[in-house]
Amino acid sequence: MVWVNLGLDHFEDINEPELSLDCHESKVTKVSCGGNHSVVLLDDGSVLGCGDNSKGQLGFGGDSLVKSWQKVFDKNGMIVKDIVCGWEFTVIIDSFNGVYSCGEGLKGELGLGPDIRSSQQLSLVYQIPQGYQGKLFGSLNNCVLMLYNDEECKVYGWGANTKEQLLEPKSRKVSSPRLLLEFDNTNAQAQDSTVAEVSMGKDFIVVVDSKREIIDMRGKLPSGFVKERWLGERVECIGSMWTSIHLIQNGRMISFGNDKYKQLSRSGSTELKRFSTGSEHGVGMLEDGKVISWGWGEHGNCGELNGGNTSEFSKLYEPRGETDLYGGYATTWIVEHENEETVG
Amino acid sequence: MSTYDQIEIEDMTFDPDTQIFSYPCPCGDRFQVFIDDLYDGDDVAVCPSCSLMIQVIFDKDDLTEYYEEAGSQPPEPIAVAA
Repeated sequence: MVWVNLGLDHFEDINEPELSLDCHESKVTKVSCGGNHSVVLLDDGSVLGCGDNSKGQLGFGGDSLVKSWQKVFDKNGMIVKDIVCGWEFTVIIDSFNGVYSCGEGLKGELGLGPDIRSSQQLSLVYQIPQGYQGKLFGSLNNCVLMLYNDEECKVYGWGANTKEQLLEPKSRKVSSPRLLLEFDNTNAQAQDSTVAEVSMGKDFIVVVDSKREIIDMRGKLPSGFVKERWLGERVECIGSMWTSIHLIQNGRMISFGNDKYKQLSRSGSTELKRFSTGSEHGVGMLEDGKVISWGWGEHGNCGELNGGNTSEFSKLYEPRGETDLYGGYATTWIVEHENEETVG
Repeated sequence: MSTYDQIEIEDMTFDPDTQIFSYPCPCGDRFQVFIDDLYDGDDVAVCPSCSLMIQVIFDKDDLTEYYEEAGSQPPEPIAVAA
């Protein structure tokens, strides 16, 4: 089963970046990938999607495969502020601060209550109260919603909970948004911090605050990544593959977890400026601006590797302008801003 | 045999019609294994689209409820001539 989730109108794996989308009038602000569907969020609030829509994960029924980039989530002039994809589902926040989901989620991923496992169109999960902004994070079977304003920050989660990645004790699923943690900035202990980022692996989550300190970690953590050692540590960059975690601390990469496909091969490296993670590979930028990748590259997602896994940095691309990097399910995305091109 | 990961059976999806357990593969396809293969002690689920495999963690007793759900029986033991 191969889907055209690169927006390239063919089913083949590619091992060299190809131009997938060329935007002239708007800027790409985010790329998010599910198991076999991909979405691109533009700064005008529109969303382009492609790939598998058999479960309605692109927000409409009747067309199980979207072969090339197509406007999605545009009913009633909807303006999308944030979006995240999981295995076969998508969650968005619109300009009225409504949180909506669609697709299929057998483990509570839609957040629509215990009885709803699929929805071919967007359904309201949660209405963010006035005065808050929302931000989404996602993984295979989970979604996390962060609400924040100047005074406080709340983090909600839903989806699979068999590894206590959301809440203790473990449960088969959390089928509607549940509060995971909250901060009150007027509390001296919180010291004006807020949640900045939630890094999510397959069965774990790690929360980083605005001072870049790790403040919470839950679930089946990658082996060697010990709570007592890492809580409170400051990191410049963090990213989770399904079964490993990667941090840049004081300019040095530190990785923990599954190394069967060389996922941990960059541990100790001081060359990476920043990086992003896919299901089992990483894509990063070196000091000199070159885009590289490492880890499991069987589908060409780490470039020309003879289909293998790389412990060396595999040089993927030399961007000409400002660049954002994203990893999907064995897919790699480079957004180059100067000419506003997305290569997949 | 080196598997990519170990997955507990409770995290897998069982389809009573096809009698297959499946679990997402990082490539976007699904690892799959027949319930009868698990019953016979073959605990490896394979992905049809790539080289990755997972080891399924389960007790044989766990399978009873899935056989009931599928309305079927475990395979008969192969008769061994004395």
